[in-house]
Amino acid sequence: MKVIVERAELLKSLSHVHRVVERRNTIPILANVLMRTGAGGLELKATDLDLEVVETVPAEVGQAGATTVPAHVLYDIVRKLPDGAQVALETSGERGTLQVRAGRARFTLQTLPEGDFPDLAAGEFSHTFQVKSADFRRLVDKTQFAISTEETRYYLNGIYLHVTEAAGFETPVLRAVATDGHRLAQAQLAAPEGAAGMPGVIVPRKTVAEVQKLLEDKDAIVSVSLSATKIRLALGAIVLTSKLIDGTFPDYGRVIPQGNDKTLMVDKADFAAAVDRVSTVSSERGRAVKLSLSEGRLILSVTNPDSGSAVEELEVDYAAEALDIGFNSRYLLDITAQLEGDTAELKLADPGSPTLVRDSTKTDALYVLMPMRV
Amino acid sequence: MASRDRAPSQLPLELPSAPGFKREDFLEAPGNAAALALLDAYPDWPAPMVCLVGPAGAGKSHLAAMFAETAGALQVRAGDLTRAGVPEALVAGALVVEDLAAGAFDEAALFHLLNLAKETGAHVLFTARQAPSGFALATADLASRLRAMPTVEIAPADDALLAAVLVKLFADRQIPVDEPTVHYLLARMERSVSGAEALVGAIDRAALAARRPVTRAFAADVLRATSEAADEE
Repeated sequence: MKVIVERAELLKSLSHVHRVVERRNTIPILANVLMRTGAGGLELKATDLDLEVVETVPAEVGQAGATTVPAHVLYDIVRKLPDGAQVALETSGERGTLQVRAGRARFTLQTLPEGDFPDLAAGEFSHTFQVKSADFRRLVDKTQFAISTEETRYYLNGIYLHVTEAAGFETPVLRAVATDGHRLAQAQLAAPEGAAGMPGVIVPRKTVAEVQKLLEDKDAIVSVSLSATKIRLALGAIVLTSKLIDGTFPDYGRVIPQGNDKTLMVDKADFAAAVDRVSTVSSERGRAVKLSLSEGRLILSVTNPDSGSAVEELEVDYAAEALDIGFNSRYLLDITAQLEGDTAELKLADPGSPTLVRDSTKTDALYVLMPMRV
Repeated sequence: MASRDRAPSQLPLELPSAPGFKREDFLEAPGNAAALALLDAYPDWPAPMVCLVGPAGAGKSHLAAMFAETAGALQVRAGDLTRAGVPEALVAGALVVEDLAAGAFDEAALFHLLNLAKETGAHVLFTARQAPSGFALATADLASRLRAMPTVEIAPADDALLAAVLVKLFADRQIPVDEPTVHYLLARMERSVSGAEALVGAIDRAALAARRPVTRAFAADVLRATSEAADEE
């Protein structure tokens, strides 16, 4: 194989694919990136056996071929090459090496045979739809924070993507839901053509993070393909294929409160700042903040036997009966950070039941938060 | 456990689990062999109307769901049955009536159901905790009809079945548990399927609240806390 690639192009693609490669691998070839010449230039591919990213970069192909080299090393080399450099990549069949040349710098990397590189056999996809990058990214961004990190709850370690009927929408919606059992986030958009009847799928956390990084160009159109076991996103020269979580997402609709009648309207920024301030004295373990609501008034307080206490009062729009309820301050801040309008709307029931949080103006996303017993 | 803890504690969302109600999910045991044989023999039953009798958690609802699946039967709770709703309930020619309990149903509605089912030759599977022959009823004709209905008893679970039930309950909730944990719980928990259900539910909620995997030590903590709470009551 002999190719010449523009440094910036190669760096951009390597920055996408090298992230898939785990830093520690028991299978040596998983540490490598596969490079293969093709009609479109040079194809780069990396995988961790659950997730695979393939990207094609424009290249001047002198001699067709393929090889694999350590992904992080190659990325670091290209990163340190001067901007505007032309990078020559050339394999030496006898020695099993790849030579990387740019200007006066020359590197020789050990290769592993391309035939050993695993392929994430994608199989057939039953559903494909096109969606604006920014719209799809929004579904992911709004819900990603609520994904569980507790590994044994594997069925909560991702975003549940499915098509459903929704109140306020004339047509079915494509909905994303994530929960860690303490809070839940839901975002939706009118289901794109082709999404109807798709299987409900759980997209793993690592894939979600990669998708967020790949969908940088807001106006691009991303093509999403699904089967019961795999998801594929194609965006320009990049194709990401991932396994899905083999589990059943819980019937989350049953934990979204419908009848909470105590409405609190509060300035989002003031609320977040006050929560952040009073939580300064909270213990690392508890992080509990108590909300004491009475007509037109909200008192936030934290009492930590080890360090002290804090109280702050806010003027709010609240007309229901008085209520004391505790929340994890971290969770309150996570949720308010997702709201886009100026006013947060909290629908409360009692200190032991879930609270519904929404943007006062936006109806396409909602959050459910379980209280803490304080 | 959490209620006596002075430190603030996070409450978990009550995320529902999805119990597997398929034939392959059913755990066969000597105590439920007769009931399972009845289901498998459908529609070749001793009589078109039969009642499954057994304690809570014996598998009555599971068997009823399996019957509903094979026979295309509708399912109704005995307490929800109304006289006007009877023809509609029998429209499929097969029906499940769950939770038949003395004093917890409309006698006129049930009597009408028995008559209409007999007339139309519909198959009806009842489930009850106590045999309906013992019900004290105001309608004498209904009492005699219920006495005449064949019943199939499900015996309380033995140890082997309870172990399998524990594994199934954790699997329903998609929680991986190892064998030592199951044996630990089995040796110490209330010896009934409903006891196992309550315990697995408590462990699931506690693990979700604490964000911890279900290990033997964690399960032991929950078991201790639930039995202490029961003692205090």
